[in-house]
Amino acid sequence: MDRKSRSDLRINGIGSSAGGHFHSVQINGKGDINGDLECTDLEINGLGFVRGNVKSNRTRISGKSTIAGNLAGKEVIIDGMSEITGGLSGDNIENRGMLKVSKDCGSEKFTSHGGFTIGGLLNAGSIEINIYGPCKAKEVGGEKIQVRDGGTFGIGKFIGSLFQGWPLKTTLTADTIEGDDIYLECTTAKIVRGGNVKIGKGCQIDLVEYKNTFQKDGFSDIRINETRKL
Amino acid sequence: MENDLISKKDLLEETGISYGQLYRWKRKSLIPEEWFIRKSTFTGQETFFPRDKILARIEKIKNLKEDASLDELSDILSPAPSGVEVEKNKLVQEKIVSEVTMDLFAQVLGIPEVFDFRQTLYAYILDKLLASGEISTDEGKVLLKTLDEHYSEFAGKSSEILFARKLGVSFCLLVSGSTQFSFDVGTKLVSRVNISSIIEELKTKLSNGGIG
Repeated sequence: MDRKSRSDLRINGIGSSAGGHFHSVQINGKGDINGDLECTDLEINGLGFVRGNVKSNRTRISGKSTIAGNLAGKEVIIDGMSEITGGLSGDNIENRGMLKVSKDCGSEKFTSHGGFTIGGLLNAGSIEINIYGPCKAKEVGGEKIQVRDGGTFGIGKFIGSLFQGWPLKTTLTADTIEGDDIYLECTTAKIVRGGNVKIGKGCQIDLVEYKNTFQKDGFSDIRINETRKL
Repeated sequence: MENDLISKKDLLEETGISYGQLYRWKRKSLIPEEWFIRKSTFTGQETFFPRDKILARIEKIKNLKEDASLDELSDILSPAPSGVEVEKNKLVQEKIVSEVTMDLFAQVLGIPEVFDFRQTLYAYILDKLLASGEISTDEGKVLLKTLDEHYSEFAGKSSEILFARKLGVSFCLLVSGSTQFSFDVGTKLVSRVNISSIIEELKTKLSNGGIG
């Protein structure tokens, strides 16, 4: 379908649509889309529910959305909360909120400044994770993988001064992490395999296998059970 | 299920590729999802691959990637039909389908001036089986009809086409990939063709011929 002949879909307030092909789709308020959606731009400010697969060049979610299907696009930005019951794929995925993907998540670039749960494989050329909330993935694989502790910010620090054991220690949890260049902080994993592996503070890793170089920072909270050179 | 598996670690060592490359190829769907076989080992979950298939595929990707981008490669290697349209004459000229096959095709499904990918695929499979001498022209007609009626249900998935004969009567089966089956004693499996690999072959041929 020609892009020019596609119309826009805009829901302001409460509304619903059956889905279909659109140029730009915007939900401000509460919107339900009951079917597959294909569009150039998708913006959800508020509450969005899509019962179907979504294909969109640019996707931006600033509120809360649930997609009961797959989300495929070029640019995906999540500023709020998003749950995807299928897989997520794109060229550039940026997560600044809470992202939940039930299956695999694949992208050229994956950046996260928040928390996420990925039920399958997180696969990206470049993975940059700044841990600001609980991060979980079954498997992580890619070329460059960087995981850093985001630190606690404002309100978390304040509550932390009142109660013990708060904030909850936020970590990245994964079964396996495999990549060419890996740098990890605050990561709990069973196996880490890679070309160049560097382990930073707060890591709990059962087995590290590396091909070229291995480095470990001098923090006392690092626990590595076994290290092997291939 | 194949017994001959290779672990991911051994695969990388044997082929000299890196984790990054393997994941990139997987992302571009150059390596099908069903080849990633997860098994439990003493170190936890490990991924294994069917040895012969994966080694051949990686060799192929390595050879092709000099000339084509990864996106082009994924078009060639994926079992999904591509959007190519080929003129009837061009198929014969490029020796993708022989004249005889064309005539047979015309008898059963009529002859379109422009072949879409699916029609090209049917003609190509027919041509291949006829050329191998495994089936007769009458059986070829049955094959075409079967493909025409039922292949759309299998499109995009890995599937196989089987030809079997019993007491001189032949029949044709279209099955989805990695299904197990057995025949009764008197039946003889004449021909078995994996459609996914045929598609791959055809796409390579088409792109070599400057089509698609």
